[in-house]
Amino acid sequence: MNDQHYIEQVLRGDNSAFRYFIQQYKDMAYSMAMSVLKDEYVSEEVVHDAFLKAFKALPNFKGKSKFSTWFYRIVVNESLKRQKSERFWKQRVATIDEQTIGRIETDLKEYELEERKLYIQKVLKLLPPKESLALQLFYLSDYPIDEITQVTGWSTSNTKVILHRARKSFYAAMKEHVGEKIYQLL
Amino acid sequence: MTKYDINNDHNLRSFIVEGKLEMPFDDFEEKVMDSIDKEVVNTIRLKKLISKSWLFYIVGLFFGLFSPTLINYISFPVGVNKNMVVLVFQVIFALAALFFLEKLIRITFKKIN
Repeated sequence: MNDQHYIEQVLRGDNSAFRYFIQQYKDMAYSMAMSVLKDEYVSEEVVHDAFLKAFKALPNFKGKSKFSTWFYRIVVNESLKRQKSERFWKQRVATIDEQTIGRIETDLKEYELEERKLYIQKVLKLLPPKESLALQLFYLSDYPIDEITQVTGWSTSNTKVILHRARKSFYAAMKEHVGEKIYQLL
Repeated sequence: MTKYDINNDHNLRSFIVEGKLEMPFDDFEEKVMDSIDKEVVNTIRLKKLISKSWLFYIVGLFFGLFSPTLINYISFPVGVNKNMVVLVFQVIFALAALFFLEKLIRITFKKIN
């Protein structure tokens, strides 16, 4: 069963079919909202509103893009509307060399999955919204660059720049905020 | 030194996948479905109200158009210009009719979109 099947069911008046979309996309939508908003409760509210908006706008969905792309665009727009200020994030510029990145990667791999997961989530919360969002879309959703541009409204070159910057920020934040703990334990 | 390729960064990909967040609120799905059910009920109610509004608008329009004829049967005190009364009534009626028509069209299309 694909998205189109459930879209048709919802449009025919079977509202319970919308549950499929909630189950399918709530986690990724929450991850995206968290990337921008960095707050569990506000992110939940935003994702809730995004689902409601998608339900209301479903008759206008023309199927030109995938449902997920269309829906994630709603999530991003709703998140950006709720985002208070971007000024804080603009001050952060990550500088880190490839050798250090390699060392952090090796160190991280030596951790138990649960512990590593906590570190990664902590670091993603510390990244600027755009960078965290780009990483989630590119690596977690497996979206190609052109689909990321559809979701975010960024240009192709800007998306590439943000992705490169995001990688550096990720490892810099890992080194800065989690690194001390890592090296104490080693 | 090989050039860095974002598409082949398997380490970063696996880290991001491992750090994937899940919706931490168990009742989230039910909350959204409840909101959707309420939305559907409200939409049906609103559609009925809009239909009623159009009905009363048309009834009002019908009576408004025939009212000047009725005014002719009313006897006014001496000195009151009957034609002026009809004219004032017609102007007020036309303005009110346009005002409510605009409101009705707006609310009807807002609901559709």
